[in-house]
Amino acid sequence: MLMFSLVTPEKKVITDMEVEELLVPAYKGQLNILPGHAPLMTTLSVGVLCYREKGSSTWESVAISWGYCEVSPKGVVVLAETAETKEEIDKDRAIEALKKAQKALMDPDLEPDQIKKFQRKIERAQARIDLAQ
Amino acid sequence: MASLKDIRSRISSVKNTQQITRAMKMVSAAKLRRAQHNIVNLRPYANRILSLIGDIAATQRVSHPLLEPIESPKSVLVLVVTSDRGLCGGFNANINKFAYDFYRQNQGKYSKMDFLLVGKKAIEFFKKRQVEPVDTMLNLAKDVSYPLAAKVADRCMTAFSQGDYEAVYLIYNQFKSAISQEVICERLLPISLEATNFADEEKKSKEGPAFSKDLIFEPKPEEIIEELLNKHFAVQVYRCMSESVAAEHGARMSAMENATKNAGEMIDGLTLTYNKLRQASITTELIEITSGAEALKA
Repeated sequence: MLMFSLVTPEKKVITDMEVEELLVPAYKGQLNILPGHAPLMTTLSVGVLCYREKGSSTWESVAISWGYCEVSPKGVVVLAETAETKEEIDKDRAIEALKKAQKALMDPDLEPDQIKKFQRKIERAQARIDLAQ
Repeated sequence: MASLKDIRSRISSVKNTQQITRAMKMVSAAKLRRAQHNIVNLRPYANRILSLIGDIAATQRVSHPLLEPIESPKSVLVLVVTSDRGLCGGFNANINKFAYDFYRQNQGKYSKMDFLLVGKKAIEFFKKRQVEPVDTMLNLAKDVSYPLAAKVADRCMTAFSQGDYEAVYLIYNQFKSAISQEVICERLLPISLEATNFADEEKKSKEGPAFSKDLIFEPKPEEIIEELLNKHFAVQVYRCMSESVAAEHGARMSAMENATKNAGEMIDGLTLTYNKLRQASITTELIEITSGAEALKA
């Protein structure tokens, strides 16, 4: 069985929940974790993390941004910077943020740092919108 | 001798003060609960990060400049965390005194010692003593948020990796319980190995060393540990700030409780004198009336 914990600096979102299957936005793309997965440590990007609780067939999802995922025989631990469930997301605000960041990115004389910053903002807003829909 | 009117106004003014201190106590108690909640929520995250670092360090033998302890650092950066507002007992005085002692004792030891001050009280204190901070920071209690801590951490980290400092210390009030806090000086950088080892051992004892020998890393372990160490440092700063905020509310709560009690005692005392004085004046008046009447009779 797969034990799954999700923690952020501000709260412990999920503690030792038994799950059937996990989908995490990993460093090189979506990563599907099933029971018996080889020990793994990876960084996470921004995106939507999905999990299926034991005995249930519906997927629950959480929008996360950057973090780490460790898979060990003990279970899966996800350390994320932020984690928001569907109920917590303000979709209108996310859409607005996306538009704003996209517009800001049009500016031709942006510093490389700023470009990165806005790209991150876009990713984040996109993940939120994806989840909210 | 104060007149009746004087005492009456004294009583009402003390009563007003008591009302304020009582309200402040309630507010602090509520804020304390929230701050405490914050710390409790943060701990699992901080522990997990530490154990991840331990895992990597144990299996991959990666060395990192942030992990190398330096025997006798020459240049240090000291972070001092205080509050913006007073009325919290010895909270700020203790920490300022400790930081200043630290400064005087180690002045000869280090060739360079810089301060990064958090909170208005530390800034004022050091300004009076002509110690120039490299940077200051305000408004901690309002929103002790992770992004804010990350900003401070990032600053320290950049300065550290550029070689400006060989060690980073943080002086803050550790939250012991609602009524007690302790001034602590912690070395944040280079990251202390003892703590890492401890987490490592704990982990090993829990699940045996068998696992994680052939851990898959994505990306390379060097890259992960770099990020993890940065994150660990930011989390440490955040934790210390949260502790300081919780300690501040705790200190204020107990200070205000004492103030409320003292005000109550003062009111009791004043009321007693007031009643005595009132009775005395009634008695004198009565005596005057009766002696007047006696005089008329005679």
